[in-house]
Amino acid sequence: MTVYRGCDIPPDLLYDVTRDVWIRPMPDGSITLGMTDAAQTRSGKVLHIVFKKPGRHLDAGQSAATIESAKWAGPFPTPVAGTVVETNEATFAADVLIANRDPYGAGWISRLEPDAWPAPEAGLVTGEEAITRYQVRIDELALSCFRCAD
Amino acid sequence: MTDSTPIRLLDLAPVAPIRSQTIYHAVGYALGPDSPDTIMLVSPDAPYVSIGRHQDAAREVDLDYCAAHGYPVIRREVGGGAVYLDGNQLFTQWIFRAEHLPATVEARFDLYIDSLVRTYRALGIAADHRPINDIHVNGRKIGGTGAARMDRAEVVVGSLMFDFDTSTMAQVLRVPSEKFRDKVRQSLADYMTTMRRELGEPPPRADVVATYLATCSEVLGRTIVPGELRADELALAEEFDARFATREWLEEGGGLRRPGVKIHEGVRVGEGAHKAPGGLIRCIATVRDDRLDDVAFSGDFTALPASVPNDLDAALVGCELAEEMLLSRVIDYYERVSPEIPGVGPSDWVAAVLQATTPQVPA
Repeated sequence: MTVYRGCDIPPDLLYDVTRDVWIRPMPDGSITLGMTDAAQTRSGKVLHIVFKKPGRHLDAGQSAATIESAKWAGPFPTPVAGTVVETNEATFAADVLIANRDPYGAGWISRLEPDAWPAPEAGLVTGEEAITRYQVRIDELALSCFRCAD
Repeated sequence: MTDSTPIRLLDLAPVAPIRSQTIYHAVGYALGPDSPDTIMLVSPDAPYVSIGRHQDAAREVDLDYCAAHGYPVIRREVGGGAVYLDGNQLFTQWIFRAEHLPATVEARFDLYIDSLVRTYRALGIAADHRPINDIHVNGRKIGGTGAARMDRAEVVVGSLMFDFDTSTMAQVLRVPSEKFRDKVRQSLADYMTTMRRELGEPPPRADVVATYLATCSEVLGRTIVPGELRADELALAEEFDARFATREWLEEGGGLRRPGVKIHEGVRVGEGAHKAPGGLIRCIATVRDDRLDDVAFSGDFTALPASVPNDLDAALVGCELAEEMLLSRVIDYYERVSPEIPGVGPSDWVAAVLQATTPQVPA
C-alpha cells in the first residue's frame, strides 16, 4: 500500500488520474470502476448516488453514475467505453458512505464489459507510474485525504 | 489552482426562469480548452422554484400550488433542496476550469463565500461564513450556495439577496400539514435575512455589482473583464432550455429525500410520530444548533389537564437534543403536574421528539 498525504494509491490498480477513477480488471474480462481516495475526499460525504443501469452502453468519458455529496453534485465518468454489467447499488443502499470508507473495496461503483481491453487510448497508468503521477497531482491540488470513520 | 488569465464577466439582463438555470449549465458544459473562466450575474424575470439534482419534485414541492400560481419548477444539476427564487436575488455563478479552483468542495466554498461575505460587509452588513456553505448575519442565513461538476468545469452558485419572499417559499414546499407549514414559515422568517431586512432598503443593483466584482478580483487575484456569451454557449443554453422543460427531466430525480425542511445549516424543521399504548403522538420540532427551538405535540391521546401538550411544548423549548436531557424535563413536568394521560409515559413524548429530529442522512 502506498499512502501520500493521506491518500491511498494501491499500486495494483489502473488509474485515470485526471478523472480520479480506478479500474480493476476482473478474471471474466469485465472491469470494476470506483472513486479514488482523492475523489472521495474531494467530493465529501456521499449523500446519494444514481447508477446507470446494467445493459446501458457508455462511451469513454460518459457518466456511469451521478453522485451528490452533502455540498456538491457531479458525474462518475468511465475512462473506458463499455456496457454496464453490474452496479454496486445494493451496497450503497445499505451504506451510502461506503465509498467514503472503503473506496477501493466495498465502495466500488460499477462493473463494465469494456468494448476493447486493454484500452491504450484511455491513458491508464498503474504501479510506480501511477504513484508518481498521483503524487504530482495531489501536490498540485494541495490535497490531503480523509476517510469517514463512522 | 493559480491562474493569471482574465476572468470573463457575463452581467446579463434579467432572463426567463428556465434560462437563469440553463445558462450556467451551458457555459459549464461548453467550457473548452481555450475557454475563459466566467463569473455570471443574472436574475430571473419571473418567480419559479428550483429543485436539487436528485430531489423528487412531487414529494418536495406542492406542484399544484406552483401550477396554479404560474411558478415553473425546474431541476438543476446542482444538489441541495427546493428553493423559491425571483428577481430579488442576483445569482452569482462561477464557472471555472476545474484546476483553477481549489481541489476540495470545502475549499472552493471558502473562496466563493469569502467574496460574498466581503461584499456584504462592504455594504454595511455583518455577514460571516458559516461552514460549510452558509452565509449568516447574526444567526440568520442570507442566501444559499451550491456546487457541481459539469464536464471540465467546476461550478459554484449562490446569490446576493436583495430580498426574499419567505411566505411564498413556505407555500411552494410540499409539507405534511398546514401546521408544519406554519412552522416552516415562522422559521424562515426568524432565520433568514436579506439586504432589505438588514439595511431597510437594499442598495442599487449597480452598487452591489461593482462591490462584488471588485471583491472577486481581490479574492481571486485576477482581473475581471466584461465579455459576451459565445454562439456555442447560447446554442447549448437553448438545448438545455428544451431539455430542462420536459417532464422527463423534472421527474428524473433519483429519490433523494431529506427528512424535514432545512432552513439553514443550523436550523431544521422536522415532523415525527410515535405510537404509544395510549395513542399516537405527533411532534413538529424546530431544532437550532442541536437544541429544541420550538416543539408542538398533537395526537389522539387523552390528557388531563388539556393543556398537557402545550405545557410540554413550553417545558422542552431550549432543551439540548439528547435523550436523557429531554426525558429529565418531561419527568420533571410529570412530577410537578401529575397529569393523567393513560398509556402515555414520559419516554413516549421523548420518542416522538426524537422521531421528528433524528437526522437520517449525513450532515
